[in-house]
Amino acid sequence: MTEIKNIKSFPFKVPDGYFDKLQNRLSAIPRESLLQTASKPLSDDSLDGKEMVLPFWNKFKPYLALAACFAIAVTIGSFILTKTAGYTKAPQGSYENILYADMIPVTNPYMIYGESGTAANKNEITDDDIENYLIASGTTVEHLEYIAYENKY
Amino acid sequence: MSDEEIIQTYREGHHEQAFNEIVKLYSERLYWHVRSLVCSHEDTDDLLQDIFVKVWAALPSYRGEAQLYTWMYRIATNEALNFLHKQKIRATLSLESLSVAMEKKIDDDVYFNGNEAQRVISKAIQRLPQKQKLVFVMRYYEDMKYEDISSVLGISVGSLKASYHIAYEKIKAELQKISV
Repeated sequence: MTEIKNIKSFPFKVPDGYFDKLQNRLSAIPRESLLQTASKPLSDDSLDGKEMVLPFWNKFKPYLALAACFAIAVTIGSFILTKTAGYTKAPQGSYENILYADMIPVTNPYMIYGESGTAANKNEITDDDIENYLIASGTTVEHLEYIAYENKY
Repeated sequence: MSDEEIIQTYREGHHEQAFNEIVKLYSERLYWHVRSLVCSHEDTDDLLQDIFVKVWAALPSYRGEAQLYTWMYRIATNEALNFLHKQKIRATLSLESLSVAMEKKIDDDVYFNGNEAQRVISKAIQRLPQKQKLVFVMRYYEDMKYEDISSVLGISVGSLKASYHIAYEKIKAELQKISV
């Protein structure tokens, strides 16, 4: 196993004369930066060496911007939630169903809808109902006379 | 010229002379420091230009709280790390990891002058996490003391030693694979 200690040198090389050229190039930096400073427009008073002082309210600008973004997000979110929230109209009488659920008798559940509160009128069969039924069922007149005779005797 | 003399020269108003001394003293050292992190000669060359431009711009604000040596290394390390961060984003957009991209650079580098074991070490260094990579390079290649590395990176000596030990073991394991 090759010990890591024995191969410590940098395994890279540089082009010939690189570091001399590098030093020459880097030494030109101060002169280049002076040229760049000299070429700046004279009308820019803020670079005269005076310290720029931010207006008072500029310091609070970022916080105001953050608060405004938060307010906008909350407003938009509320609007969207209000418009997209589902609304289901309860069926008529459903509240009463729940309210009186334990009072509904098992034997006659329609009792609770009676207007007088007594026996349910809905279950009463009228003569018209009987007539309609007989016509619909196809019962003949002779059969009806027979039934009446049977009942009589 | 020592660091203190350079600073004294600068404070006396001989800015350009002081800067040239800094270039003479630190250009080659910083070159190898950056090269060990970014692998490519061309990238190192570009970065070095940026580093010394920043040094020149920051010299007026240098207060002497840290040694000039530490201060220079800190600037160079930060520039190299920023560069690697951009490379990582670029590599991610190309759907490959940064370490794979750096290993390709090592393989394609015409200035690579080492043997197979050194190639394996160079590649293994690129696979290390950032902190371990920095500590390993500065300790192993540049023989820096832990106290100096601590000043540059702002990490405690104990943590540096632990990081170095872990990095060393990882690289040793990589070497063992090729020797088997």
